[in-house]
Amino acid sequence: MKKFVRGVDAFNSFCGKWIALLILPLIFVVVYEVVMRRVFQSPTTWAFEMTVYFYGAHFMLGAAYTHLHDRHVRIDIIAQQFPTKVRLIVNLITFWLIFVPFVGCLSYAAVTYAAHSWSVWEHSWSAWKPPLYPYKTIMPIAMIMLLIQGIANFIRDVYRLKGEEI
Amino acid sequence: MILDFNPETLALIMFGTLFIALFLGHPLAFSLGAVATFFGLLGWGGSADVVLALFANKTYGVMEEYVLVAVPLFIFMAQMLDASGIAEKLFHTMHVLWGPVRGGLGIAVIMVCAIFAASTGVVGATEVAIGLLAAPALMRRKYNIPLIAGCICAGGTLGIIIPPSIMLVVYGGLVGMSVGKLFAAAFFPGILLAVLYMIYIAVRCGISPHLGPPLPEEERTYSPTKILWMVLTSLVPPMFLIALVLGSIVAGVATTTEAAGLGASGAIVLAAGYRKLTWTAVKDAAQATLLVTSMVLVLFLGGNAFQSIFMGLGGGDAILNILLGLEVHPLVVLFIMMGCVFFLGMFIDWLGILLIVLPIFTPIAGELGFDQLWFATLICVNLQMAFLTPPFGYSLFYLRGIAPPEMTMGMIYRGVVPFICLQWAGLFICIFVPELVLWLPRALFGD
Repeated sequence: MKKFVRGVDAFNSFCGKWIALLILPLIFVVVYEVVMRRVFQSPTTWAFEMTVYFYGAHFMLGAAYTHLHDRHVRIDIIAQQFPTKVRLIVNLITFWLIFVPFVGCLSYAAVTYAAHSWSVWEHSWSAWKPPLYPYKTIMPIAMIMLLIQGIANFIRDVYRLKGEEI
Repeated sequence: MILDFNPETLALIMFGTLFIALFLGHPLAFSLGAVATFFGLLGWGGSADVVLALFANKTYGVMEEYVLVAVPLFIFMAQMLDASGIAEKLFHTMHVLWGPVRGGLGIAVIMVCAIFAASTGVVGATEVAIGLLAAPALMRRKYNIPLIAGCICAGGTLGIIIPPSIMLVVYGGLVGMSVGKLFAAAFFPGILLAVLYMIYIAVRCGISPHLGPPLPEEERTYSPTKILWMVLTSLVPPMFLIALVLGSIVAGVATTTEAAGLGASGAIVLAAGYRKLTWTAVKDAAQATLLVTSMVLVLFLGGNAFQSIFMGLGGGDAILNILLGLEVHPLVVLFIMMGCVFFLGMFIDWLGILLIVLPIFTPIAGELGFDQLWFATLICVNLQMAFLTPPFGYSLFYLRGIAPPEMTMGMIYRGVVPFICLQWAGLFICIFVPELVLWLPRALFGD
């Protein structure tokens, strides 16, 4: 179990560092399009959609990394008043009551959603007409990474309750 | 339909459940989503498949929303500016310029924050950078500690009202309004707040100089040419960024998203100019950007899920009927809405508030015949307070994270109170002088 937690942490930490760098091509494409359109009067057909793809991949795939670093904003003003033990127990309960229902359902929904896109070989309506199924597949991948990180955090909290830090 | 209530009751139950879920301390994004999941599966007539497909659709909606692409770009721009060390230079210059005046260093803090606010769109990085410099510097000069805390918190919060601002980007993305117009509308209200803060500091320190003494004579040793050089090197680069971002939007050269991209690349160039552009700096900025961006946009996923179920169950109409059923003057309804936003601001962060209230309040404002641009600006000015009102206020947390040990949480709480009053004053001015909000967008973009 401890190995699993460490493995998930290492995986999401590794992925997060690379995903973070997606901001650089995002900036590049945005600036490239402005320069091409305004300076050379030859707008691209692909920059608009490329921009959106980089942006979507960036924040969606970053969700697990953000959860690993506990940076999804939470309102813990009340929780902080409790002793650590109570807080950990609340964490364990909210994992089943809040995290699993939503992230689980959304993961399932995302798989169905992307599968449908693959089944019809969905393409965009724009002039460039890129295939949409690779982009839509990011949704289930991101959600499952997030789900696994949530499970790892849950197990970590179980160990903490026993007084062990992973 | 398992839960068979009328819409009003169901709306109330759903909100009640949300508040209980929020205070359990689980991330807001998932709490919103979980409440949506339960009420969607149990309370809605549609089948589970329909609800899940709706969630996936809404999620993809966020993934393809071009307007929101500006969010990571503005955040990266702020991180890069932070790494460039421009805040230090700017603060040092303002310190020298304003030091001789009573309360001058407090005014300097607000000025630096306002200039920064006009070049970036976030609160965190700016406030931390300026707070780290200003708190020790002002304490060394025997400034009143609560006053210092108030200055830094209120000044840092300007980042998200003075355009560019990710709050306005998010607002535009949520409601489908032109972000350029929102920027123009929020410009003078943002400046108004900054001016109110500076007047307050000047008057208070003018009356009781021990709160903010002027710099002693022996420290005013800079020659005029030296000062001029400092102003040039520290003020021109941010002005260049402001011109690049806001200028390209106003001139119609670029969309908001493109302007954000230009700003981000401009910030990289600036960091290079100050010889702070290293691969480590870029990597750190990118990682910090990812953490904030993902937090903001994943919250969108939960918020969208919540809102689509809440509206689908008729909760929006229920609240609309209650508020319009009061049959009072529209201004009273406006104040009720503003009061709600203020109250929520004590416990929830700005983004959660926008996600929860906008879909409900926007149609109400429409029914009452309010100008949507004016209403949007009022909400955003109001949300400035959400950063400062305890117990949950981002600006308080940021300052707590970097405060010197002598600055206690109690001092910070006490210090922000006058600034919250000033923000209320600013909000009232915007309510009763709508021209302050509407003049610039009309002048720039027409009607």
